[in-house]
Parts: sequence; structure tokens; C-alpha cells
Amino acid sequence: MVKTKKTPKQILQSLFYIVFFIFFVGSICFPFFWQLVNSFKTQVDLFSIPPVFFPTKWTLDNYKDVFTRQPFHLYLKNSFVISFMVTVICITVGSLASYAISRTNIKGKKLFLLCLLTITLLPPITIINPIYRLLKTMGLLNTYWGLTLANTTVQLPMTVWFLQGFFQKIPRSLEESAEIDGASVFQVFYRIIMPLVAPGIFTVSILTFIGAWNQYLFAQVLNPLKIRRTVTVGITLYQTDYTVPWGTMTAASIVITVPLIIMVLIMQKRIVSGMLEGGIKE
Amino acid sequence: MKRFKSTLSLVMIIMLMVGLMAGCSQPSVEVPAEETQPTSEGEAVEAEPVEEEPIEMVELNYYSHPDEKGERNAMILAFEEQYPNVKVNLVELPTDTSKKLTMLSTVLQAEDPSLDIFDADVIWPPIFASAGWVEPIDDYLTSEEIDAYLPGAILSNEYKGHYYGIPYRTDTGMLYYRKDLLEKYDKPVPTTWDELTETAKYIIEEEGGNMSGHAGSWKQYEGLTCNLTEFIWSYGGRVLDDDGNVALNSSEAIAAVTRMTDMINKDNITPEGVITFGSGDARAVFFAGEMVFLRDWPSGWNKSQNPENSKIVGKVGIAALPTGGEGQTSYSTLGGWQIMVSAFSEHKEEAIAFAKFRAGEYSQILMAKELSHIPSLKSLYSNPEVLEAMPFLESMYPAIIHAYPRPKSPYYAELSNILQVETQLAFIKQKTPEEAVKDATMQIKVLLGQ
Amino acid sequence: MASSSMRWNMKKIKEKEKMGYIFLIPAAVLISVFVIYPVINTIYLSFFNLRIQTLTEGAKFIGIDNFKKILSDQQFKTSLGFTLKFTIIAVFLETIIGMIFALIMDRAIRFQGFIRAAVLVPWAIPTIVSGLMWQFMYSPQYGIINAIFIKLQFIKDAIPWLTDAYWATTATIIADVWKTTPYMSLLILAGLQTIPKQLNDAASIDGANKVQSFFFITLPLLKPVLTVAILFRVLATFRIYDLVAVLTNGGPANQTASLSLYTINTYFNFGNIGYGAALATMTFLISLLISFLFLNTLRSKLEGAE
Repeated sequence: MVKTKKTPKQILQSLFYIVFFIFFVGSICFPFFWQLVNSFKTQVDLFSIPPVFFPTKWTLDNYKDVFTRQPFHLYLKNSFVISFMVTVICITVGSLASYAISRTNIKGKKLFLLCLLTITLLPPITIINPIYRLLKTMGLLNTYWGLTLANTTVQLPMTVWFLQGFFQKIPRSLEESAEIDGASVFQVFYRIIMPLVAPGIFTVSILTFIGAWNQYLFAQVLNPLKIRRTVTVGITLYQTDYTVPWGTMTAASIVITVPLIIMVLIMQKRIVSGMLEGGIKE
Repeated sequence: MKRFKSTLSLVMIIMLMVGLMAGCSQPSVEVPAEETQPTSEGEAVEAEPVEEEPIEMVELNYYSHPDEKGERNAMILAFEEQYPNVKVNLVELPTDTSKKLTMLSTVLQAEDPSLDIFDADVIWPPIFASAGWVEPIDDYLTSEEIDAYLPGAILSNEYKGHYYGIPYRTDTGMLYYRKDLLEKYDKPVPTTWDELTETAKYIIEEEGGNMSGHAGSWKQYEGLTCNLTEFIWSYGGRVLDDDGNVALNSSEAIAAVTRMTDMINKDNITPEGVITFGSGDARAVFFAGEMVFLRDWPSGWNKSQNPENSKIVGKVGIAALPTGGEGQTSYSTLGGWQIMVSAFSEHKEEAIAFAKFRAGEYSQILMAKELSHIPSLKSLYSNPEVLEAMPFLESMYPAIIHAYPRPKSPYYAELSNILQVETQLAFIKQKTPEEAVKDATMQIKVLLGQ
Repeated sequence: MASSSMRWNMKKIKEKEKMGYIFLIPAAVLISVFVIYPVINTIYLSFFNLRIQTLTEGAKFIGIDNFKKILSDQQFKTSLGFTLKFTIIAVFLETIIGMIFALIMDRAIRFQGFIRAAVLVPWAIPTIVSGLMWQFMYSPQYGIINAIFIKLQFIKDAIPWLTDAYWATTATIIADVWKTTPYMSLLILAGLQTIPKQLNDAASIDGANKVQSFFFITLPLLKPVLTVAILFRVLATFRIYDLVAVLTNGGPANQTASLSLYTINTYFNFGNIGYGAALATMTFLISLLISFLFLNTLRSKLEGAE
């Protein structure tokens, strides 16, 4: 291709885009950057009026406080385990259901999808009482499984609606030839369809993981004991009777968010391409 | 593709196995010694048969506040030493009182025996008692024990003739002031709100900069009701009269609300954003040296003397709150926390024993020293350790013992909310104080069925 | 022979149908246990007068009295008004800004990966955390936003971010849009990248400028994606609770109390279970109504499932 010199108009356009990006990225990341900077400040800096931007003295005390005042490493472990379990179960149950809806000829699909939508219509807090009673009867309070099941239910609608789009894109001919070869429905599902929707699975996994990680209400009510507490609940417990320890809390919020951001950075290619392959198409 | 597929399946299988193992097996103990196996019900667990005879261990779950500096756990250890067969788990709930209420409501409504004892705000006993969620403990307290407590504090636990809890700390609103500034400008400690406003205006004028005059916790939450009732009472008004009838709509109450709104909108002695202030926010401005007066609880005292938090060490004085004018009495709102026992606990004996310990001398002295919690036991007001930690207790004793309780009602939460919303509407000038008081009165009447 | 292969087909279809039902079982179980049962329970309770203050007396059936009360409840009207206003403005902003960002991200430029990662950051942060973060930034004393604006001389006096009803609503909208715009922009980006480039190229050859080709080609093709995205966002924003609770807790004077916040206070803080359940049911019905507005899209998606 012949390399043409940029016209002034094009240079201006590039400039415009660069400025836009700086503004774009800057305004999006600024609050996070502000949190980051704050987590290294001493009390004096944090509460100075008017506020200072950079710390006059950098300190790691806040981070030390995060882990000593509460067993935050335990909370991190709990959050990881629960989010993983939610992701796995949600993907499994969700893809089975999605496949059933998009590829088989069962009755009552509309009803099922509507029921799914119902989940998103009711604020979770209003159903917390029955769920608490239920889990208590099943002996699943303060465990990994109880909170996992509750979280999975909340993440399920998005999963099914998403994956459905992916499944629909796969040409039926592939299935048909496999069936003619004698494969059972499950074999077709597992060996042929699933690998083809792999990008979609990646996308939904990330979304589900982050969703479960950030869950607060269910985590607070269903797992109140320290041993199975998650990070989102833990961060609210630094606030004592009358003080809001901003230093510790900004540090804790960084600790909560960094794993997610690392994951997002690693997976970002997959997320976007995953969505490209069909996510919410018609 | 094949490799991906098998990796994916492998990952899934591993995760499921991890999950299964995690769910089924007992969680290992890798947290501080106090935490042990959580179970949905506090059941007896046999200890190692190394002792001469197996001791039946009882486990109690104590739903409480976050541990600030380890004092609560220290207190629990002391209790466990006295009662070696009991293990107490401290379950921290968020500081936010309404989050606590959400949690406790959910657990108690489900009649879950995994909650044995919990901390309750001074206004909760009627609410919990009327719901049948707490155990009456009259039979476990002798009359001497009851008398040992400050009357206001112990009475808050009384509902329809029974006692449902024991107060482990009491609280009362106080006026903090800048000794140094008052001295500098030769102003006396104000005894009326008008005097306070004038003094504040004068000092703000003279000092300049970011100095403001006065603040309390005026955001839309319980703290506002505490502040508001102090103003109303100090002008001679009442919310409910002695028979429980709504007596809010009076010129005194209107004067009180007017005084508050004027501080914000007319005299401008409150700091920016005071209507979003919790106790911590108001305190922060005072500790930064930017305010002359502060209405706060006594627990602010030891923090004000800590150079890490406060720029005004040694410059703080405490006095009774001002009144509405000549001939009026100073009132401070009775605050404080009690310990209550769940009606669904399966270990009521042990739970009550812990409750008594929590509200007993040892714990109160410890908390007085560590957290500036003022004791609810009368005897501790002449205790040398306590007085050393909080010297103002001696002079403030009359105010403390006369702290006035907020309206007692099972519907208190909603009542308080009505007061908060109407007052805030007056703050933001959407209603005049007259309208706010009148509307509040009407709504409360409807609520209480009057 | 024709009939035996037809029978084989019938058998296959039947087997597939059976397997389909089996595949659905796990999801169906989860949903009926964790959702259907609690929802029915809530709706059931809304027909009773039940408060924790009178818990020992039990629930009294009062038919639709709770709902009649809602219709004359001033706070309900305020909350509904606020929630609707908030939802419409927030989703509108998210969509417009998201669209702009998506259009820009659609172009192949350097640092594409970095931009995409940066875009996902706000959405990865838990609401609890971002709520506290914004609260700190809006603080009248320590707020960095006012400090910067004043330094750059955009404003003279500090903006009363959380103390004034108008500004509090604005502040909450900003915090919400900040968090969810990235998500929207990615959804739209996905939709954009499925539009064949040839269409736009053909249009520009025919003489259409950028704006025209956007409105006449891109936008119509984006409609399906856009509608579903907006639907989900509207439903999610309508339920907003966490952010409002942290930033304003409904204040000042309940002016920013979203429907969820009001419902929760009634249910848990005031202990009015029956009325709280009725409020929740009302919220549910209104959400259902809103989703009917998007019925056409829903219908086509459901049909696509056949």
C-alpha cells in the first residue's frame, strides 16, 4: 500500500483523538488513581483541609493496617473460592440451559426466559429473608456453598441471555452431521458446541467472576461469621464507632480491586473479542 | 481446540472438587485463637478426652461491633477464664446502626439459634421486645444489681414491666469547646444557645480562615434525632408527654428548630455540609482545629487528646449543653448500648452469664480506659482508674445521671425517621420550622394511632 | 425407505426434546428455589398487615389495603419520582457517552488494548468501594473535586455536592454513570464491530458524510444490541440501592431515597414487613411495566430462541 503523507486535516483529527483519549482515560481512571494515591498517605495528609494531592510523606502503614486489623488474607481467600465456584457452576448450569433453549425443541422456552428476566426485576434485598431461612434450614449459612448458590442465581440471567446469542450463531449443519454419525445429544453439546463458543464462555466467566466478587448484601447476611467472610463485607468493618479510617479503607479498596484489574488486563483481549462473537446480537 | 477443551474440563473438575471439599470438610482454623468452628446452631462439642472428665463446651455467638484495638477480644478472654466451659465468638457487624438492624432482624425473624447475644442501641429494647425476639432477664437480676446501674440506662431496657437487657455503657451529649479560643477572646462558656451563637460569630470574625462555629451530627440518621431532641428539650418542649401522647407541636419546639436552621442559614456558624455530617465528620472538623464548639458524645474525649488524630490536644474543654434561655434546663440525650439475649438461643444460662459480665465492672473499666466509654454503673464514677481516663466525668456526673431518654416506643425507628426528614426539610429551606414541626406532629400521631 | 428414516428422525427429535428438558433442570431448580419461592413469598406477604412490633400477634389479612396506602404515600411518590428521573437521565447519559467512546474505540489505533483495559476499571470496582470513594471525593472538607475546580477557577465557592437535593442527585448520577458507561461502551462496541465495513464504505463512495452514514446505516443496524443493553441497564438502575445508600442515604430529607432504599428502610428499619413487601411488589410491577415497553425486542429475542 502506498504510504501517503498525512493531510493537515488528518493531523488535526489525530490530535483531536489523542486529546479525547487523554480526557477519556483520565476521567475514567482519575478516581481510581486518587484512591491509589490516598492509600499511601499519612493521617495528617488525608485529613488536611484543603486536601493535598500527593502525599507529603509516603507510608505503607495503611496497608499494614488492612491486614493486621482484620484477617484480610482470609477474606481474600474466601472471595476467590466463592467467586470461582460461582463462575464454574453458573457457566455449567447456564450453558446447559442456553443450549436447551436455543437448540432443542422443548416447550415453555418463553416462560423460562421470562422467569429469568424476573430475577432482574426484584431488588435482592427484598428476598433476603426467605433465602436466609432456606439456607439456615439446609445448614448452609456461613459456608462456601450457601453463598455460592445464592450468587449463582443472581448471575444466571445474564449468563443465559449472553450465551444464548453465541449458541445461535453456530450452524445447525455441524450438529446434524454429528447426529447422523450417531452422537447423543450430550455428546454433541460437549464435544462440538462448547468448544466453538469458547470465546463466549471466557467473556461470561469474567463477567460472572467480577459480579460474584463484588457482591455485598448476600455476603453480609449469609456469611456473617469471620471464617467465611468476603472482602466486600470486610471492608465495611474498618469503620469503628465514630471514625472513618480513610487511609485503611482506601488501602483495602485497592487490595480488593487489584486482583480484578489484573484479571481484566490479562483477559481484556478475550473479553472484547468474546463479546464480538455474538453476545447480545439479535 | 481439543487442548483447550480438555484444559477447560480439567479446570472445571478441579474447581468443583475444591468446592466440594471446601463445603463438606470442616474449615480449618487459621484465624486468631478466639474463632472456632462456626455452626448454624451453638451445639455442645466434646473436648479432648485428656481431662479427667469431658467438659461440655458451650459456644456462644456474640453479634457486636468491630473490635477497635483488641479490647473486646481481651474482655472475652477474661470472661472465658472465669467460665472455662464457654467459648464466645465475636461476630463483628458493620458500625452503621441500620446495617446492624438489618442483620439482626433477618436472623431473629428466622428464629435462628446461631445468635445468642448481641449489642443493642438504647432505643431498641421496646422494638425487639415487642417482636418477641429477646429473653426477659428479670429473674436473673437481683434488685441490688438493678439499682447498681444508672436509672436512665437500666430503664431503657424495661418494656411492659420486664427487663430485656443490661446496659454496658451509657452516653450523653456534651458540649466540647476550645478552651484556648474562649480564653483568648475572654468569652465565658455559653449557657444558652443564643450566647453560643454570638460567641461563635465573634470568634469566626476575629480568627478568619476556615474557622466555623458549631456542629453536631445533623445528617439524616439517628444522630440528628439525638441532637434535635436536645434542642427541643432545652427550650422546654417535648416530643411525647408523660402519657405517651404526641406533644410536639408547640412554640418551644418551633423555637428549637428555628435555632438550628438559623445556625445554618442565617448566622452561618456551621461548617459547609453540616447536614451530611455523622459524628465522625463533625469531630474531624473540630479536631483539625477549625471549629469553636462541638456537640458530641464523651467518646470523643480520648481521641481529642491523641496527637495522631487531633491538632488541639490540651485545648479542649467539656461542659453541659446550652439551654434555650433563662430558666430553662440543660438536657442531653441518653445514649448508650445494652446487651440483650436472643429468645431463640439454646444456651440462655451461659448467654446471660456473659451478658452480666459484659455489663459488669471489669468490662466497663476496661472500655472506659481504652475507648472512653462512659460507665453505666454508678459505683464507677468514683473509681480512680476511670476518673484518670476521663477526668471530666466527675463534673459531668449530674448531667450524665439526668440524661434524658428519647421517646420510648416500639415504633421508634419510624418516629425518628419522621423527625429527621422534617427537620432536614427545614434545613434545606423547603419548609419553615413551623410547617416542619406541624407536619411531623401529624405524621407521628398517625403512626401511633392517636 | 422413507418411513423408517422418518421414524428415526422422530426418535431423534424426541430424544433431543427429552435431553433439552434434562439440560434445563439444574437452572430450573436453582430458580424455583432461590427466586420463585422468595418472590411468591414476598407478594403473599404484601396482602397482610405484619409488623415486627406486633409479630407475636401474627399476620392479619387485609387484602389490597397496603396497595391503597401506597397510592397515597407521599414518600412513595417522591421516591418513585427520584428513581424514574435518575434512571432516565443516567441511562441516557451512559448510552450517549458510551456510544461516543465506542465509536472512538472502534477505530484501529495504538494502545487499543490499554484503552479497553482502562475502560473496564470503573466497572470492576465493587459498588461499596466506589461509593465510599466518591463520598470522599465529594466531601465538603476533604473533597478533591471542589479543590481542583476551585484551583482551576471553574467555580468560586465549593459545590454543595451532597447537601443540596439537586446537587446530590447530580452527584449520584455522575458516580453511577462513571461506573456503568464503560460497560455500555463495550456492549455497543461489540455491536459496532459486527457491522460490515463495506456498508459504510459504500455509503461514503455514494457521497454520504460521516454523520449521515452514522444515522442511516450504523444506528439502525445497532438497534437490536442497543435495545437489549438499554433494557438491562434501565432495569438495573431502577433497582439502585448500594450507591445511594453510601453517598446520601436518601438525604437530604429523603429527596434522594430511591425506591429500593425506601423499601428496605420500611422493611428492615421500621420493621413493617407487610407494607415493605407491598412496596417491593409495587417496584416489581413497575419494572415489569417498563420491560413491556421493550416488548418488541423481547418478543423477537424470544422468537429467536425457538
